Amino acid sequence: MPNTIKFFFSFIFLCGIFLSSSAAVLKGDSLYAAGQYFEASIEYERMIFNAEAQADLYSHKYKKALCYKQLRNFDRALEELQPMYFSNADDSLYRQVCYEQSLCFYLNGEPAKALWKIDEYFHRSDDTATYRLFIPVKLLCLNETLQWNEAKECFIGFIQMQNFTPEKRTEMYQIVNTLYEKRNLPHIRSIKKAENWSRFIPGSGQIYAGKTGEGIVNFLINASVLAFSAHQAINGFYITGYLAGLGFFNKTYHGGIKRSGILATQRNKELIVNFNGEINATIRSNFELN
Amino acid sequence: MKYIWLVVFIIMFRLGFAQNKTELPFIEHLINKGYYNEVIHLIDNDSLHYSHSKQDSLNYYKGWAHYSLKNLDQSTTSLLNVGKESPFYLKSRFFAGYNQIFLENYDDARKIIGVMNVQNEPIPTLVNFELSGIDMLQGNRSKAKEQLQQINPNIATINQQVAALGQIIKDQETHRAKSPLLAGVMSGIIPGSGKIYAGHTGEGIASMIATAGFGLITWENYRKLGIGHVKTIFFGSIFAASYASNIYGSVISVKIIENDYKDAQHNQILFQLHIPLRNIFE
Repeated sequence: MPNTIKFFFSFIFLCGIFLSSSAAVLKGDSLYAAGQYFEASIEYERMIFNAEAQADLYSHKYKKALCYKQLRNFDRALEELQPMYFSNADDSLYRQVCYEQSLCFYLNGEPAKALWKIDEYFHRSDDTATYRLFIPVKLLCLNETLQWNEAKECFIGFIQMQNFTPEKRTEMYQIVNTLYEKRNLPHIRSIKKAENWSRFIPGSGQIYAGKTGEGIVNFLINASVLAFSAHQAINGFYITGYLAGLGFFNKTYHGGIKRSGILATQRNKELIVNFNGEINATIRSNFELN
Repeated sequence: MKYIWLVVFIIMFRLGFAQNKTELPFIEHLINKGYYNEVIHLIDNDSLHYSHSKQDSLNYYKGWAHYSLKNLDQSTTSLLNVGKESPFYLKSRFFAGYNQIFLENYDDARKIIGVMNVQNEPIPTLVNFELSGIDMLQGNRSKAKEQLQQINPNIATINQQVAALGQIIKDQETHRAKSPLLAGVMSGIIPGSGKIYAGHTGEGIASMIATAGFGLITWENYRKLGIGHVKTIFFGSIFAASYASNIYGSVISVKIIENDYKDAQHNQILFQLHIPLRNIFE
């Protein structure tokens, strides 16, 4: 048998082995592209199982985390991303892992941790050109943690990183200034204040929290019960006035205080979500994110 | 010569792909990492043909994944498909039986565990132990006691659990059940006292104060306005409802307490039956 044929057979054999492993990666990628994230996560786990090099392992773990993110399972995505350690902070995979970690933290309702992760990346990496990838997430997290001045500065910095025309840049500055004007910022309700309002005037805490109708109803109920109690006492029905009137009033009064605190918390969440929705829409319509 | 090279090439090529011909090591890895849904998905969608022994392992892994996800019916079905030759046979059999005990299908559990014809210790002892547990769960205390006494005392992995089951039997024998009727009568005489008898002291005092309060209001209105006045009727109705619901509540409280006691005993027996299975098979 001529040497060329022997070489040909050996080449096919080695290619076969190599292709079998890259075929599995391709299978994971194609499943991911087809939106079959659960199946793709299994294929990536298979790659993790078979991986020999650390770099391959991290790459597969990263892709697996992306599957979990798509499945809205942020805890598991973070479980995959957290144990990775990169000695070289300029590694592109390190940037992607940090970005996904911060995004998953934000989506999982942990904006403080997301900010901590972004700061860690900024501190470790000297590649300032990559920072712009993180800014939108940082911006949303700063808003969520009510750090308005830092958020505004961050947004302005983000505009400066873009290749905008001078006119576009001026327009964007105006938009940011308007968004972060005091009157346009979410009017965050103090929970303590809402409770104290209800403590002094039943129902007023609910009105302060934005639920005027509920506040009025609560006020009327409390007033009626108290009036009934006083009426009974004035007419000599002391036991009825005390036990039925004040007993019932005790429940409606304290219930109202607790309720106003809950309403203020809910209202604050709504306001932040709406404000971040506006920021999100502004970024999507004016910035190139890739 | 040409053909020899061809045969060599085919053999080498097959060896190159051999790792992809079986999913078992990967499935085992998934089980160890706790990815049970993935295991079930892989096995259900696997189109490869396995030998008998590998099929047994697959059935075991699938059963174990379902067991870990608390899908006990599916777990039992898969575990019972594990053949006698498999190293997982005994474990599968016991856990399938345990699944049925958990599902309160005691007769099925007895059939699954009882038919194992293995003479090597600790299996016969473990069978007797599990069967005595089933008897306890079915309320056959004397039979369970007899069976526990026959258990080989030299099996260290089971001794503590045998003692624990013995203690549970003792507790059950000395337990004096509270009477719902007595609680109802007590609450009828002094509102709230039935709940105190049932063990809910705070709740009993609160009911006593509330019922007494409504009673006082009714009495005040009756004294000043007479029996026919709408206020007397209104507060009288509330008092009557409070009084009657207090009696009903006391009866229910005792029933709940007794059910809680039975549930605690039931869970304790299940827990004790589970420990040797994990000790012996893991």
